[in-house]
Amino acid sequence: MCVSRLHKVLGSAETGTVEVESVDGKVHRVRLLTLDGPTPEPGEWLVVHSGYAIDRVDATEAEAVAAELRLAATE
Amino acid sequence: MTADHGPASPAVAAETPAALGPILFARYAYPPNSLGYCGPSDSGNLLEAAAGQGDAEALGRLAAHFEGAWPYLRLIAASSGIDDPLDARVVEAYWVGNELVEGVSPAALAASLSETFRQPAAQLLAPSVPAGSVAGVAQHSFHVFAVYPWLRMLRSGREGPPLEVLDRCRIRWGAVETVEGDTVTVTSKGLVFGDGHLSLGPERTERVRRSLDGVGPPLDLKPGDAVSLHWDWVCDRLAPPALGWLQRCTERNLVAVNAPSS
Repeated sequence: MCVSRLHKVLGSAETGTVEVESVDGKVHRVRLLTLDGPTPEPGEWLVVHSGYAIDRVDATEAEAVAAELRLAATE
Repeated sequence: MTADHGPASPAVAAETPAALGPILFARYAYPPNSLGYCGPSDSGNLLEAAAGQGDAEALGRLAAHFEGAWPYLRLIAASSGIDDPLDARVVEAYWVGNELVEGVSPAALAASLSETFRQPAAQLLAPSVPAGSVAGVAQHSFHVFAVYPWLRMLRSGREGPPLEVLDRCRIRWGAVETVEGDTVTVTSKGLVFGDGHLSLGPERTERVRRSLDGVGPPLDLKPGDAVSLHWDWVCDRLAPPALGWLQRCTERNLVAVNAPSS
């Protein structure tokens, strides 16, 4: 089943989407229909679920969690 | 498969017992994994595994990295006294439902959720679970309806994508109308939302995949067959008992999330 995942915004893509990079380095395109506020800027962190951005995450917190996830992936 | 449940499908039943569970797991895990929504992004060719052409042992190791499904497989196995979370009976219980889900107590389900979401990363990425929803049954639709953020979004007034995701991500059932190449036309009931409640709506016709360039589970589908669907794929052909379990588990989890406390 699907789970929410952290992604870092790389830049805008086609209308209503942004290009993002997952914690494990894969690049995706996610839709913004379920995200409030302005189009996210490059460097912002998003919670993504099933191809949709659903929330923004503070960069410090996101970096810490991303590090935790990367560490867990190597164990 | 369990004695009163009948064989899951002819294609799976032809495999060696140790391969049954991993192949069945791959059939249901492939559609969202191919979209990048769950499981490792370097899963290799999960579709070939779903078709019974892959390395079942390697697939078994990979399954533990499906962070959404794996805790439920472990929970159902432990509650049933089965050592292997990828035992075919366990895998079937999780995706479709069978009598093993009755062995998972609400307390054990709540404890599993609590443990799964204990880590800081999980707390950030998984919102809190409504307490009342733990009354649901430990089949895939429980997590989709009760743990995902989408029903809360619907209830907060956001229309469109949340209902679509809930409908496509749950394991739904349908009846085969036509089979043509890689594509199957089925009739199924989609989810509808109104007055704060999620329920099944009227029948609709949808086109789904059964294979990609001819590679897919060899299900030998015929008009009238009951099938399970995940995202835009046919996962399996369902015998009447399995269809009944999928329908009952879905209904019970809808009742759980529609309860006033959820």
